[in-house]
Amino acid sequence: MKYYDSDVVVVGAGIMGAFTALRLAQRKRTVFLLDKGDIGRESTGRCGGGVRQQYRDPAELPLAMKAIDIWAGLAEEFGEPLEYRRHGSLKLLHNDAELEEAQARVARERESALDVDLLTPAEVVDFAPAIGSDTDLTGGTLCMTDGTANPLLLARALGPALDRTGVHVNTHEPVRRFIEADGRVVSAITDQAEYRAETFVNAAGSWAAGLCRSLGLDLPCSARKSQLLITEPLSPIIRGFISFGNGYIRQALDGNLHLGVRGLPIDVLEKSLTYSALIDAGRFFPKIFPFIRNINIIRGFTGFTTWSPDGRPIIDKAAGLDGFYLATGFCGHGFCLGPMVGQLLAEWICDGSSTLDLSQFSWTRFNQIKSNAKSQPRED
Amino acid sequence: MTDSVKAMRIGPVSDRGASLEIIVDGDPIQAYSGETVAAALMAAGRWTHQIHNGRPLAAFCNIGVCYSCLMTINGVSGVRACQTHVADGLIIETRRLAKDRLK
Repeated sequence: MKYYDSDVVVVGAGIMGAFTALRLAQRKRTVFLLDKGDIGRESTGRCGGGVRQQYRDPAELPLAMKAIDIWAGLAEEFGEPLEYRRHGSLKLLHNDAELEEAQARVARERESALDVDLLTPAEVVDFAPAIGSDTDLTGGTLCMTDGTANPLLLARALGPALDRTGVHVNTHEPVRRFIEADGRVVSAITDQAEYRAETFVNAAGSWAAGLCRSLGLDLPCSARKSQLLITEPLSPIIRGFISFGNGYIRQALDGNLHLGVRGLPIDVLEKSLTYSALIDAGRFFPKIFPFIRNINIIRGFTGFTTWSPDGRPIIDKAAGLDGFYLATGFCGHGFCLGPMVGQLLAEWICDGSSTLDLSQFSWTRFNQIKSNAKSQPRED
Repeated sequence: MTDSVKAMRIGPVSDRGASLEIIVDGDPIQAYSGETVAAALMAAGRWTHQIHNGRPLAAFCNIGVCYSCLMTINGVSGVRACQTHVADGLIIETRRLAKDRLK
């Protein structure tokens, strides 16, 4: 069995793990980044591409607002196009209850200096003329520093950036388990080697819970399958990232619309597109965007999202076990946060604390919460 | 280019269908019955077509599953050129935008 020694081993080369590894290496740590597959080929490369600050758990807002500053410089940092555009995010409101909730949310977000506005239904249609003017809406919330980026381009840009920074990236090498000794995690085991380090980061998304089990740690997260349908390319018709009760829509630079259908809770991690996604898309999208009725869908794909019991991520050090950090449970909205989470974890590991408070993302908050999570998803 | 393009069609070893004419972006192009629009375009040296952001595209898989060859054929947009047989007088516009469906 081969041995590798390093300062930090990061498991999971999605956006969380990759940025953590990148920032650690930039702070002169020796880092191994391990993934069961390719860089960014799971949630990160399959997401809706929204880079969004508004409409989050309040605890996440400071991270999101700092994250978009990092996003602004990423294409230049990586020397690769990411199609990051700040063309806005619009959340549609369908009834009075949602309007009331949005009024309170917008007031709170504006207190944190977020540039978010409450729109009337007429103003919503002004921003997005593709929305039918007789759609049943009570309004919308619009944030113009929000936007979108291309998940595949990000995944592709991470590889060379990691190499340039000196991170040792081993792809197609699944970590089977962690090993602990004397109250600390000492290695990560793959079929090829044993990776020993001072510190381990579990950023394995939908697979994180399984790895925690090898240390006897409970991670009360559950998986959902998100589904995206891609249309034929169209001339520009949808601006920004528009989300509504049952899904979301954005238009890629090449003109294809990405129609996101809400995530389906699953027990088995398998990626087939469900017939229900097509039915739901056919039912919900034309009600809001009448033109979609006549547009062809040319392909679709799915991805997994990892859900915590309270909808807020888990970014924490394990209690009672040294050298083990966790970053998962982003509930399908981690894409914006990724670059900032990586920075904060690197700070925590290197400096013992992070420049933003992460106490709201603790793992131990679930000791007080009765978890409704089903038995852990198994891979198929 | 011309020689290698001429070489793309299989020589007299096969029975070639009748010669006919398709119209591509206003230009008459010779094709043969039994070919696909995508094949006829390649044989005519028209390797790429345009989309709205100025980036060229070409038929990629040629088996009808990648949707890179979508064109407007006889007024209907979003048609796969690699899955469409040529016919005399077929009108092909290589712009790919489904403007006729954006109502």
